[in-house]
Amino acid sequence: MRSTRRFIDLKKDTQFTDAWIVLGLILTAAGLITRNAFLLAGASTLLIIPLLGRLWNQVALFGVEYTRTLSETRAFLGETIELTLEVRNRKFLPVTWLHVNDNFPANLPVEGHEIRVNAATNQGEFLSFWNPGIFGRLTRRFPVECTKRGYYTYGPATLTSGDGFGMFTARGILPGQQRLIVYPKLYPAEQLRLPAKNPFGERAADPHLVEDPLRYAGIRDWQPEDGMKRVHWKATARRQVLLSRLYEPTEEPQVLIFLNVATLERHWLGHIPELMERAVSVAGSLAQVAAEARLPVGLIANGVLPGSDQPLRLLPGRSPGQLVRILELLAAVTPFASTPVEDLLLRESPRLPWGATLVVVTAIAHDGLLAALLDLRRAGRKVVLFTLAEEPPVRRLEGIPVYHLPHLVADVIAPHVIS
Amino acid sequence: MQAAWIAPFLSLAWLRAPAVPGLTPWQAWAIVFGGLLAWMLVLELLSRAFESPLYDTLALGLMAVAGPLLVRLVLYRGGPPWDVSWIGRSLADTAEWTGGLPPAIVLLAANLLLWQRATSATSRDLNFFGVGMTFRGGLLLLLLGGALYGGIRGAAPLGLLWIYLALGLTAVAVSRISEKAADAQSIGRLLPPRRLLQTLAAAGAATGVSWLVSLAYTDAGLRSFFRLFDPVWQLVRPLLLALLVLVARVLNPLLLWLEGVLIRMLGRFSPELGEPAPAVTGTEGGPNPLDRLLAWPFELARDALVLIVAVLAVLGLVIFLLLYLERVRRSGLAAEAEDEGLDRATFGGGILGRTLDSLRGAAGLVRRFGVGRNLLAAISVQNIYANLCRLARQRGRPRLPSQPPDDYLPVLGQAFPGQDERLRRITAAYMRVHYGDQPVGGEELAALREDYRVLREGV
Repeated sequence: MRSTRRFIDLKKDTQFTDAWIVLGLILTAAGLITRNAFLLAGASTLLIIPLLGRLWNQVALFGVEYTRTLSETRAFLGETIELTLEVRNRKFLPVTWLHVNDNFPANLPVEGHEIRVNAATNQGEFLSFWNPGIFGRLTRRFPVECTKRGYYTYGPATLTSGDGFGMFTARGILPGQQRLIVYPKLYPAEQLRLPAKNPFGERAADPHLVEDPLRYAGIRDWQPEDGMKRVHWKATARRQVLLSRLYEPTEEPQVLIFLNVATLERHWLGHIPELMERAVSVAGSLAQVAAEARLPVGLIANGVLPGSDQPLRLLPGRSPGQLVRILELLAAVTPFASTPVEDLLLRESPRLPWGATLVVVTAIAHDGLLAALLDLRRAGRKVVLFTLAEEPPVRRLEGIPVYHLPHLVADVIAPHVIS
Repeated sequence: MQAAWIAPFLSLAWLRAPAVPGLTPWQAWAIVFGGLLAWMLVLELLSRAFESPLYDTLALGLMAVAGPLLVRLVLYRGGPPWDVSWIGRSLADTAEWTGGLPPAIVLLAANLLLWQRATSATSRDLNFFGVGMTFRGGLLLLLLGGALYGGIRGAAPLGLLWIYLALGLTAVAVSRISEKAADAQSIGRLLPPRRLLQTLAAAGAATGVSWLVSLAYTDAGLRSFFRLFDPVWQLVRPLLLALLVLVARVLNPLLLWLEGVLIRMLGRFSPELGEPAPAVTGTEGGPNPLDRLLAWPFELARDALVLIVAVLAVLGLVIFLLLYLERVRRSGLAAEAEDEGLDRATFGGGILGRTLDSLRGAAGLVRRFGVGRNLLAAISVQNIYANLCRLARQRGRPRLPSQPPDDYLPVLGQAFPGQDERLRRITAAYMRVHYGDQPVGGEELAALREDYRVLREGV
């Protein structure tokens, strides 16, 4: 039952109430009746001070500028960047107090300061106090430790100020945001135990099933199976020997990394964050190795981007920015698997170029995945498996290079349920 | 600050001390200020040297000793230090209340009060709430003391008011800064001198403005001001009088009836107020006493019932009016809050800007739709859209000041899921009347109202 008793609100943040005005009017009437100058002066004070406070409050945030600058917008895990906050007051009134409640990523600690997590929004809040003087400017710099991979947003910020006498408060929201991408940790090739040559498996000289007639590769001696259509008549005339045209195959070596973000076979049961992070790091490292080998590389993952429900998909490319794009996607990928990786493999492989090497990176190597890999291999696909599971795959994977990397997760307590 | 409100009371209470014949408010202020500083200094030193509970004991003991010592030094000077006859004399004087408060009691009370204030000031837990409460309470006490002093002595101690205001506003401002800094992970650095100077200047300016206003806010000034409204009053007075007479005439039968009921009820208890009692002649004329005796409780109950119903009706009317006024006030506050919300993001604009904007908007509507049904329809559409935005704001999807309605439409869709078609219709109609000059027809307006009703009830 609600209590109707009067109480003193200890959390009251201002000292103005209607009583100031009411009392001012009562004192005015009393002063007029008794002709008491002190009462009238007091009444004018009671009316003027709130009025001044109100006017000051109206312009408290006028001319106030708050800027947030990150020294880098992209960083690798473990790096420290600098965050600069600046407040300017461009008016003839001092801002006696200014609270800035800025939305910060809760995962990236600011050295020496606390980031409170708002239970309602699950976002970090960085509360700072400022009191810039007349036309004053205050600048503060904070080191931000990039301790967790992610795609982070700074802002918006809520500014609260008021008059100097604690009568009123004013609030404003600055919608501006800055983004910070923290790339996953990348392992060197040795740590991935990759061979120096052909890291993604031997490339056998496959027969050219389909040739591209627009991509002329050279000439050779005519073979009976070539038929007359392939004869290079000009060269034959010059050499006085029947010669055939040789074309480039329509396929070219490509690397497509399939990342399995699930860390449990039944992915809907949850995930092991650190294990997933290592898998992401392995995927990023492989992309880097492929890019250094000038191989077109792409990424498909059963994780999703924040705010999306579709699997992450970037087709192979050779452009200089491809590795950056892959790393950005890996920075943002969430641990919630939208679909089992084996389903994703079987669904995506028909759409992929024939020459593509499917590099599967997973923290778990369960039967369903292994069966899917064998199916793909039997269909003629080149498949490579990188697994972080405790035990190597129990099934024999004919023709599939397997890189078992338990040392990368040796410091992580991997529960036996993984296998 | 504290000294300013204590001074008028001390000055008034200090009436009959032979050694110190009288105190002006300024003298009283100086004494209180000095006493307060002395107490604060002593208590501060004690608190640094001793921990509680020894500190508490010493502070209490010091207060108990200081009071009588003051009485001895101020009121009963002279004589050797070992002479204790003053105790008896002071006790005898204390019993004498005819010429006002005994000086010894005034001294003891003042000392106790100063000790208490000094203890409070050195307690290290000064926060904005406490300082604000002290400021407001002190201001009320100063107004009381100053008014009493002005009424009794004839001279208003206005200087104390300005001193109190300047120091009090400074204290409030500093405590406000301190509290806000503490809330926001401040490292606890002292306020830089420039900021302190600016704070002092702000408090001084506020005090100066108050002083300037008080020069005009006098008895003569206010009466001159009210005299400006004489023509209006002369114009309105006959109307008000006529209205008063009309109300009296309308209420006259009711008042007469009420008077009759009351007289009848009271007449039963005191016959001289009621109708003249019929002569008791036995069986001739009028009901017999037994019938009257039996009927009396029923009549009383009937009259009481009528009276209760009338009182309840009046009470109901008053409560209804109060509730209505409260509702109007709350809706005004809510609208104000919404307006503030819009302004917040712009960091500027104020009452003047909003008024000009609304006037400009109204003029634009009249220019485009003329004065007639189309104008009313356009205003209705604008109101519907404004109410829709308000509902969306309550759902955590506010419209930013610079957000066009079509950009805001997807956000509205998030606030009212599954109502995209209705939202689209209302937004389109709003854009037509707000940015264009195509009027909204009667049927369309009815459909929009229906859309809005569905959306609102969905909330």
